[in-house]
Amino acid sequence: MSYSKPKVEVDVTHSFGDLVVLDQIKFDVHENELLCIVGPSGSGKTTLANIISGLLKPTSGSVKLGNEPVNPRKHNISYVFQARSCFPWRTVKDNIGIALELKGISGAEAEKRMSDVLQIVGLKGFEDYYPNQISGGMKQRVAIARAFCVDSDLLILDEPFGSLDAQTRYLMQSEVLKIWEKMKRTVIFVTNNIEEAVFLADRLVVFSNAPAKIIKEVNVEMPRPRILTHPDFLSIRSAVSRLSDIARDV
Amino acid sequence: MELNSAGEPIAVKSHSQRRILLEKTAYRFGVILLFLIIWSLFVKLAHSSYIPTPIGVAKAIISLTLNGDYEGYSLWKHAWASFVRVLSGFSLALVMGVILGLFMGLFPILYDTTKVIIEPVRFIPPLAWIPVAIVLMRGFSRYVFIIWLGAFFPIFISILASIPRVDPVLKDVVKAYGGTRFDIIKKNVFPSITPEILAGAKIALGVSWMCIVAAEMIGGENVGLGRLILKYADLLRTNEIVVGMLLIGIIGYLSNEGMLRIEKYLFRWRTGITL
Repeated sequence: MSYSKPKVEVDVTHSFGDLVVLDQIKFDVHENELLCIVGPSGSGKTTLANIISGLLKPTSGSVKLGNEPVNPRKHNISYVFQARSCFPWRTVKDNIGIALELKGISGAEAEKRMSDVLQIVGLKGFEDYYPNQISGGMKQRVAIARAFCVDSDLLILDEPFGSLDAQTRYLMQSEVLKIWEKMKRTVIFVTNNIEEAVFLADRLVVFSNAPAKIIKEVNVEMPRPRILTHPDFLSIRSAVSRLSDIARDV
Repeated sequence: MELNSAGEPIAVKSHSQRRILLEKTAYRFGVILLFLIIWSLFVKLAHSSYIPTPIGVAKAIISLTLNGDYEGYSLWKHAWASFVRVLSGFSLALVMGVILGLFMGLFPILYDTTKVIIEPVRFIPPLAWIPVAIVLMRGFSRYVFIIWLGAFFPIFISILASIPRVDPVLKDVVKAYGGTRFDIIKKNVFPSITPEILAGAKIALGVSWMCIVAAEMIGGENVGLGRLILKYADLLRTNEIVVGMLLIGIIGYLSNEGMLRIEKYLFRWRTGITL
């Protein structure tokens, strides 16, 4: 399922009326890279995710995928939303399948992909359940399975685990890494949790408070699986924390 | 495997459930019996030959079924004629209500500019339209028009009101994965509002049956449950009138039960609440 993915180039400024939310945000994402955007809540991260996915037009600047302005009809974007995004009238399987339907994939190919991805996210046996019959964590896994079952030029995850408890969150992070290692994708992972960002990312983009500016990009050169208590992990984590604190004081 | 809202399997009707059902049925029969007793007592006290009696109504049912009314139309013919008329007017209202409701809901500017006409029209009762219908229409179209008037607005309004409540995140899901506007309507808007469509349709169906007598007053044909009532009203034969009323009530009740079944099946994904 690996194919060459276009480079992602982000260079945007966005404001809602007079309120500037994103101030000259500029960074690239390389093929198959897992990039984390980390910043305090209310710093415009979701707005940025919506702009990168092509759902929202930036006030100025652009997002380019392989030298073309991003367009969800043309590019293959997968997006895991911060808010619950299960269709309540669709079963688990059909909730995942909607991505395939929209990409025009059906029949045996669709069945195979759904079955693969159900296996990976651990929802085998729950295919025919409705969202109101499964837990919050499972719903989030449905959204992730949906994102991974289609070939995507870019996968965006916007605080996907924000509403989960610490333990489930850790479990899901490991699962996402496992899936990502198995089915390579270019990923932008948005989070307000520094530990989560350091645990997952190849590279971090640290955001300031609103209006969001990029404080720094940090490469995380640590082998996976990363140990949360390892001295290297802790030092990167505290470095990123300090960056964020400085931003808050400014 | 069937599941309840908590995700636990529902057992096939158990022994105790069957007993509850039996008890319910017994109580319902008891209520009917009690009603008949009170009715009979009332008849005894009233001393009037114009008051319909349970036995008189039962006799009227038999005679209307076997011999038909004084023009030879059997009870089934009357019921069937009304059923077809109600269904036609109601179906037209459903189709138009859904299409117009969707359109005006999705493009609020359409409703906003036309509401100065739509809203006043909504408050004109179907009965008030009868003279117009008599002048401008003939035959079957009169029935359909009057019933349509009653049924259209409950459906239209409930759809119009439900569209702003469609979850915008689900719209974004469809868009982000490359869906078109049509996909948004097909995969998000329409499934989201089907509960409201059905809720509106249930009310509309009730109103349709309420309009049938009015519609058949002007229909011109001598068949139909409303017509049956009117025919015997001229003769002051209250027993037969009650038969017509009863049948309208029963058919309306059964069609509503049917709708409830459809609802239960279509919306098994919904979490019901019980207090």
